[in-house]
Amino acid sequence: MIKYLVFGFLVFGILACAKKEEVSKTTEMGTSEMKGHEGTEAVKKEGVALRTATADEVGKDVVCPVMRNVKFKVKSITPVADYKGKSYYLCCGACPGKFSEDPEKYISRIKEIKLETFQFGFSPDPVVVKKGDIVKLEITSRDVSHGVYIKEYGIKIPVKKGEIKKVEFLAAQEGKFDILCSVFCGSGHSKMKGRLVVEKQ
Amino acid sequence: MILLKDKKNLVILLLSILFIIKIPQEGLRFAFWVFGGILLTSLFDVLTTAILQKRIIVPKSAVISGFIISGILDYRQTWFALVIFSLLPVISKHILKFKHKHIFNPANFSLAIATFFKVPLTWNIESNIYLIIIVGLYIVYSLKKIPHIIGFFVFFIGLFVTQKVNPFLSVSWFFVFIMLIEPKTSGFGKWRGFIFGSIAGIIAFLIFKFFPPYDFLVIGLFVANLFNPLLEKLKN
Repeated sequence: MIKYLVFGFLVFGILACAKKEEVSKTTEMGTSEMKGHEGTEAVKKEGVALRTATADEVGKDVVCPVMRNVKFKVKSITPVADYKGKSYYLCCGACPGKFSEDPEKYISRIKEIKLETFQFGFSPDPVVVKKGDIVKLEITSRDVSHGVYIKEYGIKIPVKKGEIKKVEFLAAQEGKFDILCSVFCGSGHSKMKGRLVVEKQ
Repeated sequence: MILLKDKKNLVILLLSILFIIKIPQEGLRFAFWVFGGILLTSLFDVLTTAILQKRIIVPKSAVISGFIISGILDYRQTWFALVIFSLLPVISKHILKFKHKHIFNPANFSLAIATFFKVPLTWNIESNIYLIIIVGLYIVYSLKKIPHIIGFFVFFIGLFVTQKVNPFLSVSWFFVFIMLIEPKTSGFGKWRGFIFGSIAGIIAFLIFKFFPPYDFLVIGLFVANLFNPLLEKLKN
C-alpha cells in the first residue's frame, strides 16, 4: 500500500513539475510567441522584441499598425513591438502575435513624413499619401510658433521652434485637404496653407 | 464721400473690400460664414438694445464686429460656433461694463474666448496688407490713435528683436490698424494711448514667448482692455 502511495506521489510530482516547466517556458517566450487571433501558433520573426510601454511613451496618441483603424492612447500596459530600431504600439494582446508573424506587412503601410512649418508655409507641400496608409507626421518649426491643423482628420498640433511634435493618423478619407496654421504666426498667417493629398490605394 | 466722413462707414467699406478680395481664394463657405457672422451679430445687437434700452439702432458697430469675428475665426468650424461667437461681442458690449462703458473691444472679447478654447483663428480677413496700412493710417490719424500704435510698436519691435524674430513679419496689420484702436475701449490721450499700446505689445510678446498656442495679439489687446478703466482713473 505504501509502495503504491509513494509511486502515486512520484507520478503526481513529475506531472506537476512538467506542467510547471511548460508554464515557465511560456513566460520566458513572452507574448511574441503567443497564439494569434485565429488560434494559430505565431512564428517569431527575427528582430521583433516585445515589451510594454515605458513611462515616456505613456499618453501618446497612436494608431495600431495591425488593426489600423484603432487610434488610442498608450498606457503602461500597452504592448510595444520594437523592430528595426523603431517602436510600434499595439492596441490589444492579440496584435503582438500578428505583428511578429510578418512585421514588414504591417510597417509597409506606414508613411513617416517630416513636416517643417515656416513663415508662411509647409515643407513638403503637398504631403502625398495613399488611402489606408498610417501617416506619422514629425512636425518642426523653422522660425516662430506654428500649428498644423487638418480639420478633416481632427489634427490640431501647435509646435514651437526647436520642438518636435509627432502625430499619427489613418488616411481613411480620399481627397485633397487643407493644412492650415492654427497658431497666429504673422502677417502671412492667413495665406499659410499646405495640402494633404490622399490618393487612391 | 460724405458717408465716409463717419469712420465706421469707412471701416465697413474697408472690411467689405478685404472680404471680397478673399472670396475667390476661400470659396462660398467663407462668404456665407462672414455674411452669417455679420447678420447674427447685428441681429443680437439690435434685439439686445431694443430690450435693454428700449430703442432701435442701426448696428454699425455690430456689423464691424461681425466682419472681424467671422473674418478671423476659421470658417471650417461648425455653424453653431459662429452663433456662439457672434453672441459674445453683444454680451461684452451690453453686460461687461464699468461705469456705463464696455470694458472690452467686443469683437476681440469673442476672439479671446475662442483662443482660450483653442479654436483656430486663421485671420482670413487680412487679405491685403497694403490696403489695410494705407486706409488704416488715415483712420488712426483721424481718430488720434497714433500714440497707441507707437506704444504698441516700441515694445513689440523691441521685444521681438531680442528673440531674433522679425517683428514686421510677425505682426498683423489688420490688428494694429483696425482692432487695437477701437475708439471706446482703447482710451484717449497721448500718454494713456501710449501706455495702452505698450501693455498690448508687452502682453503680446509674453504670450508669444511663453504660451504660443494662444493668439498673442488677441490676448494682448484683451489684457490692455482690462487696464483701460485704470488708465481712465489716471486721467481723473
